[in-house]
Amino acid sequence: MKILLATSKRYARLLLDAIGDVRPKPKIIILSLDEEVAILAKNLGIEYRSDLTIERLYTSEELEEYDLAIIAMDDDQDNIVLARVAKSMNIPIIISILNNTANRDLLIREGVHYIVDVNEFTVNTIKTIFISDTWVAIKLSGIVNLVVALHRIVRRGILGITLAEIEEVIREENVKFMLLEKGGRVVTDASKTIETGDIIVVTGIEDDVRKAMDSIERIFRKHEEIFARRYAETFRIATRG
Amino acid sequence: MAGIEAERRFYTNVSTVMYTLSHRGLSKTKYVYRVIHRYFDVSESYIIFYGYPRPKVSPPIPLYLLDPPYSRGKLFVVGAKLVQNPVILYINLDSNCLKEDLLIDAVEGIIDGHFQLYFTVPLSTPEFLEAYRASVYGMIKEFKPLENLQYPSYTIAIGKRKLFLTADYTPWSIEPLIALDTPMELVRIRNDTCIDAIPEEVRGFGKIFMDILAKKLTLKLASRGMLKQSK
Repeated sequence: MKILLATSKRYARLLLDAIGDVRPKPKIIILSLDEEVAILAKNLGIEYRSDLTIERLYTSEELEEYDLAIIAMDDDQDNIVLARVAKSMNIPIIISILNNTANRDLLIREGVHYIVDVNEFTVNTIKTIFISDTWVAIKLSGIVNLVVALHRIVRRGILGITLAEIEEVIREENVKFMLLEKGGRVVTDASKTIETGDIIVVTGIEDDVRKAMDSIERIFRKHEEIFARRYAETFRIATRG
Repeated sequence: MAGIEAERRFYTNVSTVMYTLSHRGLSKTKYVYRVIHRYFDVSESYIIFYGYPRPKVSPPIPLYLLDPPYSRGKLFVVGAKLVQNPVILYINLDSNCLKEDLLIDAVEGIIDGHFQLYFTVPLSTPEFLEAYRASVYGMIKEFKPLENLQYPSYTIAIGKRKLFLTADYTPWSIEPLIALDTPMELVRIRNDTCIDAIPEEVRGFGKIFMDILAKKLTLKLASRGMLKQSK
């Protein structure tokens, strides 16, 4: 296998780690403008080229022999241009890093087969740490649209929803579902009430996960309405009394 | 009108990059694109949005979101990388001073080979203008063609694509820096009496922007021995 690696210093080590397990050992060529990458390539005995001008790349016939192009530059405009070159070289598989989620369509236009969105992964992973009572969905793989959606319960822990209620609506969906307790143990008792600190996890193909999230969200909304009505009623009685 | 258009229409391919940092600017895209298409063929076009957060609208031509946001100078380099044509036209969608005539004159002039770089410079708001006069204009007014660069706002820039492929830009502009890199007889700067507004998102940053520009210009001029020690 021949792999063309167009990378900035920010992604070079990461990509070399990623392709380190490929067997048999592939032939790699690294294209980069950064001296740090040149040193890395030299020490690993990998062929290196620093001339990334479009005119030069378009006339490099040897690039046409490559089976896979992995493009990972710091700016999306460079990823777009290099994807265009790789496409014109008829490289059969093109993978590109996406730095800004909003530029995804431009990479698709250039014929990139797999887009790895670092931005989305980072943003959503940060969100899972401190955002509660709302869904955070993280895309896991480029081959299938596998998504893990997490919902960390804090305020919604007072609503009194049981695991059985959620299981009932989720049964019809094409997803895997689990409820994790504070300690990380998977809850199996359907009569258990969802409490503060629990985490709902839904895994599956993106569209299915979105549907499942909507179904669960409807249960939460229904209970929130009931709770709000009860609270208003109690408040009314208390002020009258 | 149709007669004048037919008379002035020329058959050439120019790449167009329109840029804005507001949703209002994006809504102008269709109109501006239709106008320029009336006069010449556009080979490839992009809109670069350099504000934040990302717009919710989907414009009719490909939209690129700039990272980091608010770096107007960088968007020229990004635009030059995205397109493949040797001539590139940048249109500031946030400008109040866009006129058909300006656009057509600019494209005509460059296609006919009268110049390689052209930009229109409208009057600017006091904050930016004062900062510009204080730190930049005094230094560059002795040098042709920069003497015409009286204001720090820009409506249209058109030039050879290779001129914009540079790392020399500031968060606010690239125009004065690339004008210095281009043979002076091939640069045309057109001052416009129209009063342009500076987008509200960057208001308050005039002094910072102009100080950065002044530093970059000083380095450039000094490295060429064009600036005397006393200045």
